[in-house]
Amino acid sequence: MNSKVTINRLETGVLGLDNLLGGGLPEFSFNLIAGTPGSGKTTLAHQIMFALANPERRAIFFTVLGEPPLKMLRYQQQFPFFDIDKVNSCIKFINLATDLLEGDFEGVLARIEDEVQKFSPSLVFVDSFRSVVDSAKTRELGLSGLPQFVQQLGMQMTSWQATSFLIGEYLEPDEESSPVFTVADGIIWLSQIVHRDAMLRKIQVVKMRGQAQSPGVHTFRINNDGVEIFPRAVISHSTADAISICGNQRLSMGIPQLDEMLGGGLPVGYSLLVVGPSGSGKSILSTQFLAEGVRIGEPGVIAAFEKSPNQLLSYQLNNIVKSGKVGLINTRTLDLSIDQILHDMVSMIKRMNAKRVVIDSLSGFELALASVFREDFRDALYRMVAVLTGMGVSVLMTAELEDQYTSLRFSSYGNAFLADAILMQRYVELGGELKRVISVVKVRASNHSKEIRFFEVGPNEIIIGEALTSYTGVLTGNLSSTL
Amino acid sequence: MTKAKSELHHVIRSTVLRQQDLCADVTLQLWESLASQLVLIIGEAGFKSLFYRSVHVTAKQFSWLLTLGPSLPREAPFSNLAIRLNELDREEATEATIALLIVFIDILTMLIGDSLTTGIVRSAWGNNAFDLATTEFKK
Repeated sequence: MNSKVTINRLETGVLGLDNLLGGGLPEFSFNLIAGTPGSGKTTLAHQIMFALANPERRAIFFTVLGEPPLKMLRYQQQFPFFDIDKVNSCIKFINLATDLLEGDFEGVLARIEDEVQKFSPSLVFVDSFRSVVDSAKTRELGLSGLPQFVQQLGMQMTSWQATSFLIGEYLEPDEESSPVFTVADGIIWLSQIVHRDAMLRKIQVVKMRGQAQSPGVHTFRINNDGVEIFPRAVISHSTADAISICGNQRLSMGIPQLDEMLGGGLPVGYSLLVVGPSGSGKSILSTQFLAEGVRIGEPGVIAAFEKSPNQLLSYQLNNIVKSGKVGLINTRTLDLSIDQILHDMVSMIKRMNAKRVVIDSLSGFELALASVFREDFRDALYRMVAVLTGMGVSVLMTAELEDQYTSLRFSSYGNAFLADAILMQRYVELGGELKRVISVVKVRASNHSKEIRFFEVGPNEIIIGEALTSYTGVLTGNLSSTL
Repeated sequence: MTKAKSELHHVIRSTVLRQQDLCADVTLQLWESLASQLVLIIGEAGFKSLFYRSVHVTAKQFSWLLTLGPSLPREAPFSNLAIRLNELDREEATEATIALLIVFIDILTMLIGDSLTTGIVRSAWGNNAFDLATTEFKK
């Protein structure tokens, strides 16, 4: 017989938070939601409260001396999660300002106890807890009573079978916060940082007793629906192990000659980097890759970072997007985090059961990221490619690279190693004309053509031409015939 | 005007007009029950600021309301209001009571919306006040 206690985990109703917490919020836990002013603490607390509260699981939200309750009610109502029908029936708002101004810790505690006994809530929120501390300091009641106050409150909350939350403004962990941090079962830390002109919101589950929270700092946003968290993409070993990449299973690129050059198509689950100068036909090649998928019943997803919908690459791509067989993540929003984009892509891939993914282009993708993430672009891209290929999808990424005829480069980021396969496109001069050439640089663990071949870009297709076997100096840009 | 706001105005008029002879007592009772619900949610300071804003606005029509100073403790303005109402003729006392309550409710509605305000007023005055107002309206 297993006599260990089973801790119920509550679904918070906040996108991504349950993952961060390690599977939900432990019932009867005593939690601290802390962070800088304006970081979204009250919104997060309200969203959790409205998601969890029901007639069998009631909630009390104590306000103290922070944001005026009238304003809080006015602004929080704008979020769809604020269900007015729950107010007063399942959720009670109680202001403790008078108790605090007239009394001390004990008075506040007695009032909380009294209200909790009357309403029997399963969820208790105190916002802002920090103002209780500040008030104590101002009135020279001393901080010595704080550890006892917090400990008593925490103990009582658990005894009352309530899951509770203290909400407080902290710029960073400091001396006065330590007793709270010690007593709390869970600590959720919110912050916002400004890097150059971009503002980013960050969340960290510093502590969550009894379960393995997702470590590290994650990004979140507050949009019209409330808080949305994008857990930092971490490569899951279980997922990676479950996906077996077999070089025998190949995807057609939609261009038979190119499939031959790749050794029979692109191995399933590979990432392919298509690198070339502007106008060399990378987007058309990507479209053919997706169109071939549509033709054989494999849905696709394209993340377009360079083109607005009305400039959408080509008539062909427009059509396959409109047909619903290819999902479009069209983002021209800047200041994104890679995890936001990845979240959108993973959601769409799952929804569409997509097998082929195109990222067009890495340069546009980098620009869409907030400046702070650009510094870690290689790391972020590595995680993203690993997560996507870990899902078993094949990923085609395009990268624009200026032709520099003095060196052979495949990426301006030094991240070509991320790709399992690389296609290089270049311009060469021949007979007073610019000609395009293409070559397969690598296909990991597979034989492939070493040829450099001419190719033409038609309205909707790439036409592979003859190999440049009779020429030398291709990589210098100046061809010479050996005939 | 929204339907909910119109209903709240109707409840105020109906409740006050129903007991015009006891205008001061009814006023005291209405304000005290409203204050007890609202102070719980928005605190005493929040309630007082709303009340004195309403007094300020309504005083354009009933200037004697300005004598209800903001420095008085919460219960005091209500009892002072009741005393002043007792000194007035029945018509003016009734109209002033209705006007002040309507202004207060309108400000609250503007700040926190129809639904929350209606919920708070129902908790304060009871469903009966709403039912009676509806019945009278149908007549």
